Amino acid sequence: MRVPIDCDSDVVAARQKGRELASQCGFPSTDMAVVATAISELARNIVRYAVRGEIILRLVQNNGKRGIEVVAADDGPGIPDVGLAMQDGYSTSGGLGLGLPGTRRLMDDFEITSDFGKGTKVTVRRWRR
Amino acid sequence: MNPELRDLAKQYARALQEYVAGRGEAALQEACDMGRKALGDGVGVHDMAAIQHRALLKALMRVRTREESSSTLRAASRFIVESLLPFEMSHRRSQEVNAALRESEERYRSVVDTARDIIFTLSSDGKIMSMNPGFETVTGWSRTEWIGKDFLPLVHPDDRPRAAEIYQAVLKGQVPPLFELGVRAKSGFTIPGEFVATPLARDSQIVGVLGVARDITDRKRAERALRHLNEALEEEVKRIAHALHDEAGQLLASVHIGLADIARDLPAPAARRLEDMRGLLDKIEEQLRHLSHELRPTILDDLGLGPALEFLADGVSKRTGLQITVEGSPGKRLPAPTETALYRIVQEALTNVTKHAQATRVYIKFMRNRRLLRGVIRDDGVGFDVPAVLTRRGARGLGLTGIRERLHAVGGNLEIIATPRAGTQLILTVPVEADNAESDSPR
Repeated sequence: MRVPIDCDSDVVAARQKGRELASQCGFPSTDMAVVATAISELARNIVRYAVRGEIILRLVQNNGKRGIEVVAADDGPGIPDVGLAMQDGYSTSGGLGLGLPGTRRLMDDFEITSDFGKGTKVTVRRWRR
Repeated sequence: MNPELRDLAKQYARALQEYVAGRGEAALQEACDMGRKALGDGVGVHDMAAIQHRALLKALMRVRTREESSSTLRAASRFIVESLLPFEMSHRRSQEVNAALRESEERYRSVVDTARDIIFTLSSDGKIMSMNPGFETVTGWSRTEWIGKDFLPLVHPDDRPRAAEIYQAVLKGQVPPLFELGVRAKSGFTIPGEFVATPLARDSQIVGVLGVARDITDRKRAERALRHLNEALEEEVKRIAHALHDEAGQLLASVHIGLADIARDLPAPAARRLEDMRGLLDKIEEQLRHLSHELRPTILDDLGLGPALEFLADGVSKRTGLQITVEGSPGKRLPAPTETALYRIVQEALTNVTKHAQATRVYIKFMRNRRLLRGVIRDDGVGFDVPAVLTRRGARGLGLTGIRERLHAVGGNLEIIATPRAGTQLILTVPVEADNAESDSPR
């Protein structure tokens, strides 16, 4: 499932879709909120830094575990130093531990690739307990 | 509730009401954003619970049916979860930071625990706050015997005034250069220790002293051995110089007299040839005397370093054409090993200048200031690259290593200021007795 991200109302739509998918997968409501928040953080970054991109949502399985995968992809300017971007206090969220590093801590899996000048792709997964 | 919290509570109640009324995901996004903002404003989780409680009470007042009441409760619980997630993220960050801190702390602790140097902290009232296991290995004391106690009794009585002085200076924020103190071991022996000390600060206030002490017994022993070796060599040189000058000189004098006797009995042509031989003998005698003085100038033993240096400078000047100025004075007589070491160092330095520096002038100055003797040897030659030369050993090391070792053996230090094409300056410092005593030092 793809949700194009262009403005703040698209962020809400992506959260909605993510929550529905998590619900289908049988996540408890607190975990649905976790997935929605992760989508918020990633989609907001697209709006703020890349202007345009998309959120791709799908159910995944691994060794009998079921989970949800969120991919945030954009073709924006990219991140010059990913290591730096993953440090607390780098983004606008300051040192509170929100943004990309906060998303990493909320989810089970976190992968980020960014080519400077070619855009950014963040993949996160949350597994059912 | 303060005004900002009241505004938040109002917004929260309104958004919750809208969510109950069916606004859906956008309301949950707002809950999340309120949580983010509250976290940034320093609002606590407990405040959030209070705000949720008020908002829920307000929402329940509008409820008419049992179904409405249970759906309101469900909505409110989803709403609070959403608004608390930013707090959760921040909480996880704290956990991660704490774990990293713990790991870093453990890493430092293992460095401190395995260090062979003594690492210690002192409080601002002179008590020992902490010490690493190295203290036990070096001194034989158990740490529990000393932690919480005054540090001064651990210092050799002679060194205590100086230790107290340095301690006070560090508490005032100074960082003293390396210093040495005797440390009392449990066995009753005194261990020579080399110390560094820095202020220990907390919240930009000095709360004590952090120190590291190294057992330099081995180094002291090596220095002593080197000193003895130098002294033995000097004795040997003295003996050879004496043999050349006095014994060989006397033999030559006897030969002179004998030849003069024979010459009287010979016919004139043969006597003239013998006379030529006596001229050669004179030259040999002159060279022997010269060699003997170079080896060990009696002037050093008889008159001391100042006159000996002038004599040396004069000799080198005549031989090489260098203009050598000797200024200042080393003051009253120094212990023989120190005088010898300094004489040899100047000799070696002048040899360097002659061989390598392409200089025209050399300036030598010695000054004595209380317990420190300072010497400067400066030339106007080509200079050199200090690190490059110092790493070369032996003959190509310009003998600087030898100079440094000689100085160390008498407790002194060498500083070399040299730049390619801009001359060389050797600065020697040697700790000596204060110069104000009446009597000369024992010879």
